[in-house]
Parts: sequence; structure tokens; C-alpha cells
Amino acid sequence: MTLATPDRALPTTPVSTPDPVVALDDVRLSYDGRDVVDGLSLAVVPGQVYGLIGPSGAGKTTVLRAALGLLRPAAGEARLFGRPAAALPRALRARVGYVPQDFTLYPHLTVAENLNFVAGLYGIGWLRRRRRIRELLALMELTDHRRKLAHNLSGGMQRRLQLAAALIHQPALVVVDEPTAGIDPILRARFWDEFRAIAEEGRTVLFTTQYVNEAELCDYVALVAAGRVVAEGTPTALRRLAYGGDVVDISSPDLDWVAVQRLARLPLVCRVEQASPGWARLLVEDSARATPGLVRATEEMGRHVERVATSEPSFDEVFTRLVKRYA
Amino acid sequence: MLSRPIRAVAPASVSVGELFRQPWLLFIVIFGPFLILLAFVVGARVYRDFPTTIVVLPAQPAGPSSLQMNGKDLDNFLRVVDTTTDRDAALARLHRGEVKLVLELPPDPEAAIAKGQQAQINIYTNEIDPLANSFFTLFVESQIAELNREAIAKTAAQTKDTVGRLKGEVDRAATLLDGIENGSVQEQRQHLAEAATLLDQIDAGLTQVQQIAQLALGPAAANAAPLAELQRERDQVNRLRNDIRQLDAQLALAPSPQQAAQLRQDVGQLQQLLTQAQSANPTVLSAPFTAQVTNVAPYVPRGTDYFLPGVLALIVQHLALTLAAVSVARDRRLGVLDLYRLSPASAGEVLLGKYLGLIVMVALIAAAITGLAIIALGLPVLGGLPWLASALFVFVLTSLAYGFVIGLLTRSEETAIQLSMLALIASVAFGGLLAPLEQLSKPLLGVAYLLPVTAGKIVLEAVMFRGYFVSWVAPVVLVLLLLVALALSFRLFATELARR
Repeated sequence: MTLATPDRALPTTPVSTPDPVVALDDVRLSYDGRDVVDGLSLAVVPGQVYGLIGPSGAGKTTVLRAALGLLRPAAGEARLFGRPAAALPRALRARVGYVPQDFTLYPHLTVAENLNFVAGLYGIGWLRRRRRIRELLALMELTDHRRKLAHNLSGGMQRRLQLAAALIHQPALVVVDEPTAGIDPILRARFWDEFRAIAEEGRTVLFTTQYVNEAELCDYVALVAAGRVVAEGTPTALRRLAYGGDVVDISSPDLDWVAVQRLARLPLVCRVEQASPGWARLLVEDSARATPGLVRATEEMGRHVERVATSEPSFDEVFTRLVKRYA
Repeated sequence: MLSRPIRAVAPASVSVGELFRQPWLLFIVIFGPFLILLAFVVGARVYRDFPTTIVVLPAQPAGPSSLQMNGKDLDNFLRVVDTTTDRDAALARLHRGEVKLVLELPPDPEAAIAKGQQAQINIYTNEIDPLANSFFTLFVESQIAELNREAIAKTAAQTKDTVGRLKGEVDRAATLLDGIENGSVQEQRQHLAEAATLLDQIDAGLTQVQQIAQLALGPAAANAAPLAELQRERDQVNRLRNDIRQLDAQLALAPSPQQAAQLRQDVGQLQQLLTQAQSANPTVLSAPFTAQVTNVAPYVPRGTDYFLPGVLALIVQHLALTLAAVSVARDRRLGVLDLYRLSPASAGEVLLGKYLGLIVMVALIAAAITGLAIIALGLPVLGGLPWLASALFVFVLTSLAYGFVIGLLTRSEETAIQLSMLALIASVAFGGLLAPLEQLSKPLLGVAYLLPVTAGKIVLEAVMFRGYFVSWVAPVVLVLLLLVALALSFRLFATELARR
């Protein structure tokens, strides 16, 4: 696996990783003579929920389309299932499900007819198709709306229909562009449940989002800004990368500046992030190993420890730090 | 194993499904074209009305004459709305568009003819449409020729009267000549002198008739049959006069019975010629030739019915072409092409599916319109329904292929629709609907045959109204267009799906 920024990335995938389902290698993509993606590499392994996270206009959709072979890179290579993405054989195309950012089904067909059409494109026979459509309608809670014309559906229903269409042939790789954009939190949660369920079946989900906090729900995250991968890794690893370690909050009514300075000199403590009378936020190398030492040292100083907890800063903060640092 | 047909049917279901989801659209595409056909049949007329005309009569007409015309004479071929002697007022009304023609009659046609001139009828029109102009010119010229013919007939009738009078005189001359053999030389010479005088009068009469006929028929008719007949009669009279002079010169020497017999024989021939001239029909003399047209076509459509296969072809082509062009352009706009690109369906399977859907739909519509036309308007299908179905199938498929090519060459639905409209205009202009194909120059004829409607119209006309192909050019062209357009559409669609 080639990482865009090896010094910043924290590889957490096992050494003997399986062959990637999606691999982009030093890809450069141009639009109107301007490079929108430059030197981007990533690898998505089977069973992962892989998130491409970044602000609007970062180039996430372009990367996704290149990964699917819908855009031809000006340089570098995109591979799906180990084969060039732009010349994927029919059998491998049948293993990909794609949910684009916009609604791309037929507005004058009903929900059921649209699913029927997509099932037909994937060569699913009528008997199996009926069962599969029934399942998906139930899963996406569209059963009562199956006879509605697609253009009469709400935006959320259209997203659900589009996702159902992408899942109808039970693809090994589901590629979803901004699945949760503009939908309510309940539906967003339902989508995530579905993505997790897909991953648990050993299938792969590659998606983009501009909701940075959704990174926490991924197995692996690539932060994209200005057409480059700013950082990548597991959510925990990215958080540690952003802060340089784990963040531990310690509360004690007697905690004063002298005590905080002593804690800062402990072996696993990197530095003091914030401190005020009775409370301190410390950056440690590993919260699991550092926390017992912190409690012990505080009590040895005659201070009563009221609460110690590992703090998980929001991914907004993580993202902001990483972008500021590396972009 | 069934995956391929299943994949091909999927896009087909979209076309049919989308149409049936829009009942108004369905109504419009089926009944709309039929209503256009019906309106065309009911509302359009193949033949023009007689043009509305003001006849300007001479302010000071000549005396009664057989050649003098009035408004009533012209009512047979013009719709005379007014007669006047005020030419300027009539022309002012023409300028205001109140009438189509102003026709100014000559003051004294007989005097003009007597001077060896043609009597000129002035016709004024205020038309900017060149087709209408040509129509008026041809129409009026043909009607003036008819007036000429009527004038000749009148003259011939007059001539017939004169000939009757001449025949009486010739009969008298014959009686005189009969007396030559029985009388004395003195009496015989007197009879000959009287006969010669009569012959001079006959010659003068014939000369007068010949002059009138010559003027009436015009200089171009010098060798026309009536004039030639008159010339023969005059030659006969002159020969007879010569015979009489010779006989008179010889009477002193006592005429030989052979000479007298010869003289009598010549008079007999003259009598015979005049009898023939007297029995001649003036109408036949004025128009010795007539045409009897026998149409061997198995069916002659009434009026606008003739245009129905062409209009049908135009409607079906426009429908198929637009639906196919918009179908591809809309898929591109909706983003469905990405779905096709990523699906296991090949470009060929997807396009085949699109063809299937649209051909089912357009063929049904075409069949419905044609069926309604056949039943409601009573049109025949002399080639039989299988031939009609085959012709419609090939034509619809060709039009669809053209539509797909247009849709694949354009980037938006709007452009696709504009190109479809251009194809419609070109089809109306060059497809043999407005002007016969024979009137097109060769390069333009080539362009015309690139449009499916040109060959389609000819094929449908042949299948419906003839039952056989007069020429195999049109069917062969249609099949060639189909093959080329099909191949091109599949090639372009494969390129479109491979586009990255």
C-alpha cells in the first residue's frame, strides 16, 4: 500500500493485508487543463468501510469516479479488484454497486419499476428479482411507496431508492458518493447501520462525505483537501496524529499549577494542553498505559483524584488540526 | 444463460414504462398525429379555386363580333367578381388584395386580326408566391388557348356557312358544264364564261375563309389541317379555272369529248370537296386532336388521400427520431449512462434494449395511426398487410437509428430536439412532399435520399396504392440507410459508454 504522506500516516491495517479491492496509485486528474487531484494514492481492502472525507470541492467525487473507471487519470493508475478500472470485465462490473451524488434513476418510473430496471441490467431473473426487490423495499422502508413515481419521492426517499438500486445485485463493493448529504439524522443512522452490515458480510464500502464526524464510523479514513490525501488511517490513529497522542482529562479539587507541572514531567506525558485550578488536559503517548501512572502520581502528591477520562476530541477539531498542519 | 436477454429487455421496459406513466403523452403521440392526418384530409384541398377576377371591358367596344368577349364568357374558368370599364379602379382593388387577377379585354379583336395582329388580353396579378404565380400564368395561358380554340370554332362555323353558299355556286357551275356537250359552240362558250365567273367568286370566298382561319389559328398554324384543306380546295378551283380557259380556247375547234369529261370530273371533285367541308364539324376543325387519358394505375387516390402515405411517413419519422434522440440525451442528463457503464450489460445490449422499447412503442403508434387512416379514411393496402407491416417496421427502425445517431452526436436534450426539428424541416422540403423529387437537382436529390422519409414515402405509397414497386430504388435505399444508421448508432453508443 502506498501512502500519500508516509510520515503522517499511522498504518493500522495488518502487515499481511489482503489485495485491495480499490487501489489508486499516484493518480493525477485534470479538469479543463487544471489538476484537481494530484499524486493521490489509496487502497481499500475487503470488508472495510472506507471514508473519503473532506470539505466540499476537495475532489472527493472526482477521486471516486476515477476509482470506478468513470474518469481516466492523466497519470497514475486506478484498479478495481486488481484490474484496470477503465477496462473492467463484465463479471467484475457485476460486483460493483454505485450510488452517485445525484438521483440518476428514471423520474417517470415507480420505485418498483426502477428497481426492476436495475435488476434487469444486472441480469437478475424474475423470480429472484421479485424476492430481492421485496427485501430491499422493506430494508429501505419503501414498501408503502413502491408504486410512487420516483419524481414524487422526497429527497431522502430518492437517496434510499438509489441505495436500494445499488444493492440489488449484492455487490462486493459498494461505492457511495455523499450518501448522507441533506438527509435527516435518523435516516443517516439507518444508512450507517446498512454500511456496517455490508462490511460485516465481508463486503466493502467506499464512500465520500463532508460530515467530518462520520469519520468515526469508518474503519479507515482518508482526509482529502485540495485534491490531496492530507492524512489517512483509522479514526483513532488520525486523532492521535492530529494531537500527537491521546488526550487525558484529570479532575481534582486540589490540583494546582505545581502539581500539573509535576504530572507533565511523567515519562508517558507529552505535554500539558490546557490547565485550570482543579482540572488539566494532558497529552499522553498512550492513554491506557499513562492513566494509572497519572492517578498514582497525583495521589502521591496528596491530591484526591476525582475523575480521569480519555478525551475524544471531535473530528471537526481533528480535521481542522490536520488540515492546518499538513495542507 | 438468460442474463443477456434479461439485460437487453431492461432498457426496453424503461421506454415503454415511461410512456405509459404519462397517459396524456400517450394520447398525444397516438391521436395527435392521426388528428393531423384527419385535419389535412378534411381541411386541405389539392386543387385551387378559380382566381377571383375583375374583368376590364373596353370603354368603347366595337360593334357585335364573334370574337368579342364579355364577363360571362370568362366565368367558365375565372371567378369574375366584377366587370368594369375603369382599369385604374380595378388595379387599385388588385393592389389592396381584394382580387387575385385583373383581366383587361382588347377593344376590337376583329380589327386587330384583320390587321394581321393578335388581339392582346392583359392580365395583372399581385402575387409574391412564385408557385401561385406559376399557377396563374399556366392556368390563364391554358384558358386563353381555350378561348382561341372557341374563336376558331366560331370562325369555322362561319366558314361552313360560306362553304355552303360556295357549294351552291359550284353546283350551278356543274349544271352549266353539263350543258356544254348538248348546246351550240356559242352557248357552250357562254356557259363556260358563266362558270368561270362563278369560279372566280368561289376562289374569292375561299380566300376570305382561308384568311380568317389563318388569323384565328395564328402564324404557327400555317400547316394545320383546316388550312391545308382550304388550300387544297383553292388549288382545285384554280385548276378548274385553267381547264375552263383551255376549253374556251379550244371551243372554236370543237372540244373533244375527253376534254369535256375532264372538265366535268374536276367540277365533280370540287363538289365532293365542298360537300366534305360543309359536313365538317367546326369543333373538330378548331381542335383536330383530342386526348383520351387512360390511367393504368391499380388505384387512384382521391384528392388529399394521395398525400397520406407521405404525411404518415413524416409523422412516424419525426416521432421515432425525436423519441430516440431525446432518449439518449436524457440518459446522459440524468446520469443513467454511468449506471450503464458500470453494469455488466454491454453497450450493444443496452442499445438493443432501447431499440426494442422504442420500436415496440413507435411501431404500435404507427400501426394505430395507419389502421385508423385505413379504416376511417378507407385507404387501400394493395400490397397486403404483411408488406405494409414490413415496410413500416423497416422505416420505423431506420428512423429510430437516425434518432439515436442524433442523440449520440449532441450533448443536450435541447440540441437533440433542435436537430430533430431540422430533420423535420428538411424532410418537408426535400422529402418529395412539397415538390416532386424529379424537380430537385442531383446533389439535392442525394440529400433527399439520405432522409428516411423520402424512400419511406415512396415505399408506403407503393405498398398502399400500387401493390408493387415501380422501381426497387426506394426500398433498396431504405434498407441501406437502415444498415448504415444501425451500425453507426451501435458504434457511437459503444464510444459513448467507453468515454472517460
